[in-house]
Order: sequence, then structure tokens, then C-alpha cells
Amino acid sequence: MGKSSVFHASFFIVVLMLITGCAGTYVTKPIYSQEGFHLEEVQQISLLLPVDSRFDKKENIDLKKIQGKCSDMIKKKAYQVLEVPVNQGVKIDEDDLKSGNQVFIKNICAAGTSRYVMLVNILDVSTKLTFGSTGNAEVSGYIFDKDSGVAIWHHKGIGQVGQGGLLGMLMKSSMDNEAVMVALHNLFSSIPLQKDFKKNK
Amino acid sequence: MMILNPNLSTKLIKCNSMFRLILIMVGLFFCSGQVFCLESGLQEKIKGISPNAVVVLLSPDLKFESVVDESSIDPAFFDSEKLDSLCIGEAKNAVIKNNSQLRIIDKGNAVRTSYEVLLLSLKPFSGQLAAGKINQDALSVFRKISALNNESFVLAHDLYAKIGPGGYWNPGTGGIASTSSISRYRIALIRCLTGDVVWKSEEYIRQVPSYKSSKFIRFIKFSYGESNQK
Repeated sequence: MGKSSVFHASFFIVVLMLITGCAGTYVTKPIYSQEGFHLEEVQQISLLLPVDSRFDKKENIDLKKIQGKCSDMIKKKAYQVLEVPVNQGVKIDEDDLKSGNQVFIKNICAAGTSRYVMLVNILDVSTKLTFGSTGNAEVSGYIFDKDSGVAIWHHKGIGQVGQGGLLGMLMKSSMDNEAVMVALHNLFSSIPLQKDFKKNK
Repeated sequence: MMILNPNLSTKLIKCNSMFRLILIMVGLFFCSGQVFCLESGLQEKIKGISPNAVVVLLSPDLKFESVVDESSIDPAFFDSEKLDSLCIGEAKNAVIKNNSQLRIIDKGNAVRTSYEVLLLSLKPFSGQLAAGKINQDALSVFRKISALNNESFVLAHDLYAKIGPGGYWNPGTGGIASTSSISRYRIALIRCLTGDVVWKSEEYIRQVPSYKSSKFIRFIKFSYGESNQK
């Protein structure tokens, strides 16, 4: 096979991928996923009100609004989401979540109504004004099995946004939201499409 | 003899009282600054401790982690020994400066004393203690320390740094980003007899820890109330 035919074949494959949307279904590998557990088989997820465990709480964030955004992103992958509007009732920080203490996890999950309970933890949100403006956000997410009291999925998402120049300086007030959205998008990129995605669509 | 215009003299009196008012305000501003600088919570607590007391100073728990995937980073990459010395040095300063009669026990002078083993047994809990979380295992060590000296305190501290991707500038699109690294320093002073947290502090700085950085050194001093600027 000549060089030109290889080039034509690879060009054809790339065009085909773009047309069929293969590039859009890319799923990143989560930091942790329980062995043998298939997230795509889960039908329903209870989404708790996000936890704010930032060191720096200068930026105002709306946890309810973030919960809504998370819910929309998960629903797009064909999972049923039940938003739990109340606080978890226990003080939570990232160290406690990482510790994997079953009693602690069961306490958190108590508010959830379905077997699989998701918690999003906001770890950092910041904006900076330079010649332009920037925004950074860091979030982590956990899915717990309420019955066994263990984490079955865990991932992190970071968002770095910014725009230089005078226009960028005017955009500073929106940088925190932008960064949070990018971080959430990166967090949920490791959640696969629900197995009935095409059927539900 | 110079005779002043009555209008001018009234104006001068008004100016004088304004000047006094400004002087008083400036004076009050500086006084409040001094009070803030000298009377941080830890300094008050240290001053109130009995001169016979012992302060057991733990080595700081240094933890470095990647923001992206939570993988731990070897603290040696950040000159952990120097950072360790910086934190211990500032902790000692804060104690000695405010109560010079107190005896400080740390890894340097605990060798071949009864405290050596106790210091080692508290090492795994250093981070938890700095957060003011005291478990049963730590409490049992506290009891042993209290048996050596009834008036004993433990000063625990931890430095946790999340190392994130750096900033960038894309001249093509005008897109820019700032680094997302952040460091947190926590300190807790605990009374061994009761296991009560007498004082605790938690401060952060948007910077990678560095013993060479004057900004970072100032931040550690600020955490102990030794500087009024982060």
C-alpha cells in the first residue's frame, strides 16, 4: 500500500469518526472504581446537596445551583437523578470521605432515597485579576453504595479558565462559575453512558 | 502685636480641632494595629501556661498531593527537611517569645529521654491532631505524657499542599490561566491531661511551599500570630 493510500484511509477514518460523533463519547478513567462494578448498569442515583470544603471561601458559590448543574450533566448520560435538597446533617471534609469509614458513609447516605448515592465536594474556587482574569475550580465526586457503606466510584475534576486583555478583565465576575462548570464537566467525563442510553433517548 | 482677623482666627481654631481629630484617628489606627499584632490567640494562651509546664512539639506532618489525580508527591522534592525546620523554628519562637520559662520537648532534645518513645507514638496522628481531632490512641499517649508532667501540652501542626497545573498564556486565542496550587497550615495546642484543644488555627496560601520564599515564611509567622500580614 502506497503512502498516499494510507493518508487517504486515515483521513477517511477521521471524517467518519467526526460524522458519527465517536469523539464525543470519550470516557476518562476515574481515580477509583470498585472492581467488578459497572456504573452503566445503575438506573437511579440520589444526588446529595454538594459539600463546601474549600480552604478559601472568599468566592460566593450557590450549592443548590451547582447541584442542579450536576443533575443535568448526569441526566444527559441517561441516569435517573433524585436531587436531595437537604444538608447531609454531618460535618464532612475531604479527609473523612477518603478515609472510607463505613459508619460515616452510611450516615452521609441516610438522606439518599436510592441505593446509589452521589456526593460532590467543592474543594476550591478562585478568581484572579491580572491583565485579564482567570478562574480556577477543583471538585471531587463520590458514589456510595448505601447498602454496603463503601465508595464504588471516585473522581476529580479541575477547571482552569481565563481570558486576557481588557475584555478578560470585564469577565472576572463570571470566571468562578465558568471554572466550576469546566471542573464539573471534567468530573463527570469519567461517568459512562447508562446502558439504556440509546433506548431512553 | 499682630491682630488677627476674627474670621481667620475662627478658621484657624477649626483647622486645629480638625488636626487634633485626625491625630486621634491616626493614633487609634496604630494602637489597634499594635493590639492585633501582639495579642493573637496562641500568644495569650502561651502566656497563661504555668512556668512549670512542658510543651511537646511534634514534627509537622508534611503532605503533598497532585490536584489532578490525588497522587501523593514525595515531600523531598520540596526540601521537606528545610520546611520541617522552618515550621518547628517558628513554633518554638512563638512559645519562647511569650513564655520563656516553658520547657519545649521536640525531636532534637527528646533523644534518650522518656519523651522519645511518646513523640514517636504521636507521629502517625500529627495531621489529625493539627485538625483538632483526637482519637483514643492519641489520648492514651497524652495520659502517659501527663504522668511525666501534669501540666503538659502538645503542639501539633501539619502542612498540606495541593500542587496543581501551572498557569499559561496562549497568544493565539488570548486564553490565560493561573496556577491552582494551594497550601494549608494547621496548628493545634492540646492540653494532655484533658485532651482539650486549647487553641487551633488554620490558614492557607495560594503558593507551593518553599523555605526560600519570604512570602511563605511570612505566612508561617502569620499562622502563629508573629506577623500581621499573610
